[in-house]
Amino acid sequence: MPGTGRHLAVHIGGALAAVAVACALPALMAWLLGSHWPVLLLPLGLAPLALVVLFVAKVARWMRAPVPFRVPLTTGQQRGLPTLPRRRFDNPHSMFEVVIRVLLDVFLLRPLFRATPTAPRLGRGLAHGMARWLWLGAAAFHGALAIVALRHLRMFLQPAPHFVAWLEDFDVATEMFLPKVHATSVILLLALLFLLGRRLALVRVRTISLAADYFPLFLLLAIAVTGIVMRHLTRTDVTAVQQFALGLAAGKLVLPARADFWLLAHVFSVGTLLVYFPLSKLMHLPGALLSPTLTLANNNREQRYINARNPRVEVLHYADYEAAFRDRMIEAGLPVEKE
Amino acid sequence: MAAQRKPDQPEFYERSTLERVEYAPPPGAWLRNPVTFHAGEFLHPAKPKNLEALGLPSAHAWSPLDEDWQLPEGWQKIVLDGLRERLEGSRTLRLMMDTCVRCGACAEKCPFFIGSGDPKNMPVLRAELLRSIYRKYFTTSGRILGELAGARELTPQVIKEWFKYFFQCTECRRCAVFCPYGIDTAEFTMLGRDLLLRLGISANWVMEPVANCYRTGNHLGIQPQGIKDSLEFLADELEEVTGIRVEVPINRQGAEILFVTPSGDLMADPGTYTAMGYLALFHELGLDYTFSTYASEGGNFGLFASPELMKRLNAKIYAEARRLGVKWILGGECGHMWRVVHQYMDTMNGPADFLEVPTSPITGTRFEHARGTKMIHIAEFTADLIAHGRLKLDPARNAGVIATFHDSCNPARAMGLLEEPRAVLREVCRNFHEMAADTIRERTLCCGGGAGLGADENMEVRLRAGMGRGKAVAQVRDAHGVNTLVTICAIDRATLTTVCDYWAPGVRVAGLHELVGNALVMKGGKPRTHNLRQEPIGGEA
Ligand code: SF4
Ligand code: SF4
Repeated sequence: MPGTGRHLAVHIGGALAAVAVACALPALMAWLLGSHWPVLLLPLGLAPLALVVLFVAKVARWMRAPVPFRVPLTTGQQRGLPTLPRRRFDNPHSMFEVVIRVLLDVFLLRPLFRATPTAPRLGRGLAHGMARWLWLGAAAFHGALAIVALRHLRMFLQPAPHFVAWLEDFDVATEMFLPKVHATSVILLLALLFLLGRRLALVRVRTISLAADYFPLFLLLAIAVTGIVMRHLTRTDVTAVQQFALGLAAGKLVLPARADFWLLAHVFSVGTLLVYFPLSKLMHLPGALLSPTLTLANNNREQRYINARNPRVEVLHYADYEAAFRDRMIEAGLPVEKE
Repeated sequence: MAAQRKPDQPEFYERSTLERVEYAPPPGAWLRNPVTFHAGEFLHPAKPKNLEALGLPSAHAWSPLDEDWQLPEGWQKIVLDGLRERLEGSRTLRLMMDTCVRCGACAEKCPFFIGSGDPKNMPVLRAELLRSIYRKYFTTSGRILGELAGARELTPQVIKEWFKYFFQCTECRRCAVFCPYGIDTAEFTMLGRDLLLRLGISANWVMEPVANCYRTGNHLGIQPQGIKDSLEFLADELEEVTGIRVEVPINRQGAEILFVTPSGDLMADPGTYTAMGYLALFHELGLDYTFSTYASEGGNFGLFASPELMKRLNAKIYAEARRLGVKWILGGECGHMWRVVHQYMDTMNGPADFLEVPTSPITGTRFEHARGTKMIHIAEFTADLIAHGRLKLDPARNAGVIATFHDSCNPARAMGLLEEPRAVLREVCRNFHEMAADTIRERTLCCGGGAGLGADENMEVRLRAGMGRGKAVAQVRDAHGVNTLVTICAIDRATLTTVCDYWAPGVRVAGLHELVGNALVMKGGKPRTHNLRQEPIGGEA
């Protein structure tokens, strides 16, 4: 990768530095603060609040702008003649069909699934790079992340909701370690490594990647690694953490005995993620759910779509057109309005 | 001979050179790599007279090869004000600015990247050309962090880059099909062209048709008597083949149907054969219809310039329908015309409450799915006739034709008009073979010359962008002996002819209704010995 070194250094270096700060700074501060370390928990407590406020602000900012035209993307046969087989969830016509289309596209990542390798005989350039591997990696990552996040509900709710226990049971686990290692934790880690590896290995993806693309990956890796270390290596006293979290939920302050580096790194990276989320490309979740190309029905010719700002424009009217060409129209025997 | 080849001719390019695409990006961060121009890859600048004819600002003479493009006074402010205006006016743009994760799923799906390997032809980077400016001037992180946040200053270099790459995109939306958020790079291309136009920067191949269409009603600038001459000429040709004299109604008040089609089909082969097909069909049905000279253009190059220009040109269709007192509108075979008709026309120039729901006078079918816009596609109209068994067809007259079908980007990805033309094609031609699944329907590959790119001076770009399509055609030619590429787009009929001659020699391009016209059994007349191209039936290609 000659010459791209600087680009990589700036964006990977920047992202790594930011993650290192998010992980190490709190531990350093705790060390400096000594027994006053619980002060650190204050800004941390604000992180969820920041997430909500910034998230709402961002979505509101989007929603304030109108959608000028109805320009859905159609990926299947339209609703037209009754004799032709239509693809309702590729080319939705009603609200119901739109909802299913969006669910399929956003939650099953259907657009990524479309990337089948193009007929190989057509030549090298036509073969879609990683074909469906990206779909697999992305699906594994998002799925595992969701399950791991739900598992953490145990920390905040007592008794934990039934489905959390259910998740724990069905999340295949090995008994080799105590506490047991869940399959989703491993999948999450591997998927993150795959996504990072792909970003670095595919030269065209490396070219387009910015610090904003590496940072969330590094941050999530930090979260996953610190979490795994805490649970399996240092055996950090999670019950104390749980007491603290449950206490907070009940409006009481039950402080853990001491500041643990791994724990601080873990929770502060999560806090960073929460605040970073609404400021970044991670808003692709609500973004996808609002995407006009996916969420609008293809019923344009049936129902008029109103653009409130439809500007008035200058038009050449027929009268002026005829005035310009009248003689020639008469000569050619074409009807005119004024002789 | 070689000495006479010029960059605007396909023969100038060695196949093996074009095929040797380097997909590894050149060294250096794309944000900093300077943009260069060489003959064969850029469009001629819009002539000042064409901008002036439309009352557009900053018309001036410049060349992509100049160091200084003579940007108008205060050009940065013009661009940034324009960007702000568009962002405030479009949630679509705001979302597309903010949500891209640069996963690269779109990267190698773009026909221009497939054929060139130029990293800035990856849809995601095409969008980043604009997004980097958005970050710098409209986001806090971009303002503070600069390059680290993927932001950059708006310099004349950026303007040059925009001109180059927003005119190496046909707004075909193939990228959007594979993007998990449906991010549509065509929206960025449209925005970029719109901003450039405010500086007097555009392509003549776009702005001349727009100026012509504004003045004369069609892209080619044909005056009313010229339209009449062309149609009469086509009627003469049709008479040669069929022995039947068809009427060509023009500007006729009180007709039931206004027929609007791209003007290119009246003037140049092979589109003219499609136009003859229309005339034969309408005659045989005894359709009460009329052409218009004022609205003599179905296409709309305004789509490739700015929303306002699109609206100014499109307004004529409804105005003319009202003036002539027709009941509904029938549209011919054209790609981008249908993008405008389907997704923009009613919003911009509707409501069409003075018209009636399109109803086929032959079958009685009410086309409810067009009850707002009051305009249907001729493939829908003909497919309905066939479904009701109302056409007498003799596919043996297309016996020499071994066909494949090219889905044009707009009917495929902006409407979903996929099965109608196939339903018609299967009835008029017995030999039909689909191309590779990933190159048709919603995943169709581009002709490389749409959205105002169909000029000669950018021939290298066209051939490269058409490589994917061309190779898919060659594949069915070799496997099944395909000799005819059927398409429902006037731009395709011109641009794919070049693409096929180059990448799949031996395959020619025909409109759907050319084959309909061939197969249509008409009352009276003489036994057909020749097709609409005046070639002996069964004897060609
Ligand atoms: S596929 Fe969509 S999200 Fe991914 S890089 Fe392309 S535009 Fe961005
Ligand atoms: S719209 Fe088509 S030409 Fe433009 S970037 Fe997307 S795939 Fe490429």
